[in-house]
Amino acid sequence: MSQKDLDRIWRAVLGELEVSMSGANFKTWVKNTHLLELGDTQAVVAAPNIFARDRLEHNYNGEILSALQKQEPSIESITYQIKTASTAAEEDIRLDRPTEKPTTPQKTKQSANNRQSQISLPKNLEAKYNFTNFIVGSGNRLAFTAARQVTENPGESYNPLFLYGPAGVGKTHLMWAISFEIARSHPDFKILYVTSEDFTNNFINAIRKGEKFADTYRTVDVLLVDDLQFIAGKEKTQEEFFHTFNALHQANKQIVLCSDRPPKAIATLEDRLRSRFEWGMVADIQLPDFETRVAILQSKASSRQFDLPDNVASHLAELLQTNIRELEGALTRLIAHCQANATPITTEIVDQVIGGGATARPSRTTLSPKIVIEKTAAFYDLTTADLIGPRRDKEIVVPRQVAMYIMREELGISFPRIASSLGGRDHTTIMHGVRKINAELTKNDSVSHEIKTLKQKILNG
Amino acid sequence: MKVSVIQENLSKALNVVSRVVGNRSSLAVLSNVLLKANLGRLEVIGTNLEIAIVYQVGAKVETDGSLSVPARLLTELINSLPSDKLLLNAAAQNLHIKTTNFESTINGIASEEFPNVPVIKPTTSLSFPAATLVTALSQVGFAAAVDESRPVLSGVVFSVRGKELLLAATDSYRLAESVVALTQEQKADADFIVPAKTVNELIRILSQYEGDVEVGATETEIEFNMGDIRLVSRLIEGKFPDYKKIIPDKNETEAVVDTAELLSTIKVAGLFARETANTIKLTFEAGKLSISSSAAQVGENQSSLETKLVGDPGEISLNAKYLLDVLTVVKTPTVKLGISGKLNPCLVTPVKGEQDTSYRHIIMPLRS
Repeated sequence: MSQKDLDRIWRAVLGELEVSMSGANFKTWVKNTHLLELGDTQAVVAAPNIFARDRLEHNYNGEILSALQKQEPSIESITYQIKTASTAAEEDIRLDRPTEKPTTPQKTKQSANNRQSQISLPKNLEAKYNFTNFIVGSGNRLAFTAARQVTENPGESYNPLFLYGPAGVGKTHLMWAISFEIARSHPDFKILYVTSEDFTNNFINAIRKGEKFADTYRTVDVLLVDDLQFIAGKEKTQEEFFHTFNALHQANKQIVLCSDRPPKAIATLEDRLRSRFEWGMVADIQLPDFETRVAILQSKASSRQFDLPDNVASHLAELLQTNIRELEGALTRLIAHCQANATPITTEIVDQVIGGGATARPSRTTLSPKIVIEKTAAFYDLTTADLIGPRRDKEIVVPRQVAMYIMREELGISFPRIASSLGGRDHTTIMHGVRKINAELTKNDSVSHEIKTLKQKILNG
Repeated sequence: MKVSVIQENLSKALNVVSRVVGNRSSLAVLSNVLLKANLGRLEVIGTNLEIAIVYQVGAKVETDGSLSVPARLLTELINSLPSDKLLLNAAAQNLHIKTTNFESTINGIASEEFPNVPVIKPTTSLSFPAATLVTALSQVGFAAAVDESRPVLSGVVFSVRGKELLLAATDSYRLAESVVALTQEQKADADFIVPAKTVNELIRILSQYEGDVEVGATETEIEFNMGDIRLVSRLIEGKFPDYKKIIPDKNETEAVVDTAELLSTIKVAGLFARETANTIKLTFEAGKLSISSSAAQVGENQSSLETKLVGDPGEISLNAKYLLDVLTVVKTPTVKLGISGKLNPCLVTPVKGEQDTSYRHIIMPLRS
């Protein structure tokens, strides 16, 4: 019996146990188990650690056995072993320079003919978005490694793979790279790349025309959905997506999702969807650090056969600290400028063209408290009236404090002024709010990520 | 359960044990510590399912029994009590705590719900002085990878080889190896990867402890017995990469410098390298080692140290933070830096006598 069959049986067993046990017990003890072997009368189950093994043997053996017997009636007993899920064959050690380009094998000639079976893979994007030209740095290593794993064993290693990070850090790049790579290694696979907007529109159209919607989506081998956050709040679409997701996941088809925030932080996302998104691997992509930015500039310049001196690259990377899209834009402008004027590129030219830091960061003076409040409200799915108003529900208080924090930190305006812009609160309330968020930031990663994303949104206009 | 115990003793135990207890676990009992009175001893037990610590506290046991109570609450409570004799009394699901002029009751969870701490039947047993182990661990522990995308690198590998125990860790940018002599020669070689979190807890506990540490390991678990404290941890599954081959055995350029002097010079250079991912440049010349750093918008810095150069002149760019990390754990007055061109790793070794190979550290250069 292949591991795939075992996994299928075990998923059914877990499904039953999830219903019969308490949620916390299931999550702690049973969720991360696997079926290793299925003999005539005996089954071997892998437990993630010795505590879980002990607990399964002594407390849950009966329940697990009877759930398994529903699938395989001949089984009489279960033995438990300690084994963690992923023990891939160990790679060779290789020390990396702190900024490195991935060492992908030489690009082979594309088998371009065999593309009929796939839907919507624009070929012109392939040269632009592949693993070879994806620059790996500390901020995106996890996402990159996970993406490579997915292409090696679609549907097996991390399913679903959920990527999240602010705008312009390479989420879409990775998704395209995954599609192209799988298309190359599995020419017969049906691969579908859509944005959640496409998904919604297709769904609406299908309802309108009375067509069968399921057919398109549930017959693919790989489904990639971009910008998943837009699905938030659309209940019917979410329900349809839920069924699509289940159908594909149960058939071991690879699903890759990406969004600008982690599943937890997408407001008005149904819990059952959220928990499903967290089943597989959730990997974040952070803004590139200095070295990665230099490496990106250099790679982009060399792909245009443009000679970019080291000092200019580091100067640019220091000036532009936001996202990759902006870096690329600045580089394009510089190259155009230098070619038009036939001047060599120097740091002075950079300052002249890019404007020496002044325009690199969005100017704070253009931001007003009003904008911050509007954006914060929109980000948390509230109205500005909620934030300014007197209500003190938790769902409103936290976003309100976030708004206070951002006004204080980013706009640097006084406590009384923040107070008056938030509907005439007391300035000590504001001080408390800012302090509260500051404290949260140091101890809570998801909060700090949320605020980073929001800041990004506000600063990028 | 009915036990009387001195506040300081219980407080000490709780502060060690509660460190491993998670407070965000979905299962309530995992945020608890187990108090267990048995055979005239009181045990305080905590676990996060990766590490478990069993701490024996000197106490007068009147009746046996056990109960688990929230770790944070109990720790904070006991810490804030005056130094006095405490009377602990567990009845049903409540823990009653009483001193001369203080009384409180904490709701607990029955001890049956609390995970059993595994009993280990070791296939490998080792023993060495705590001080030796803690020095070696603190020299390698920080080099382990922080993220867990490659699980085997998120721990410290313990390799038993005859009369030696080799400890090594790498995050793929740097690698540290430390060798500890064993009191007894081991017949069989063994390798196990201990999670970095466990190593950090060990360092913390060992630095408060004098005496010998007894280590026992199976294929999946390892335990450390340190007097009253027993720590059991899972091991990381997998094979640690064969790192020996990337440690250079010969350097083209070598310089021996004063550890403290180099440390302060690099701290200064680091000030100018914050914008450039801590990049500092080391230039090896006849008679001196120069260290420089610059950032376009900040300024620049240059300093030099006297040294005797062996081999050809050369230069290399390194991350100042990595260099500082090593220099702070090296205990000798001088260190040797060895490089072979600007693309190969830099080898840092402490200089004791003529031949000293008990600690080796390599750092990958930055592209410059």
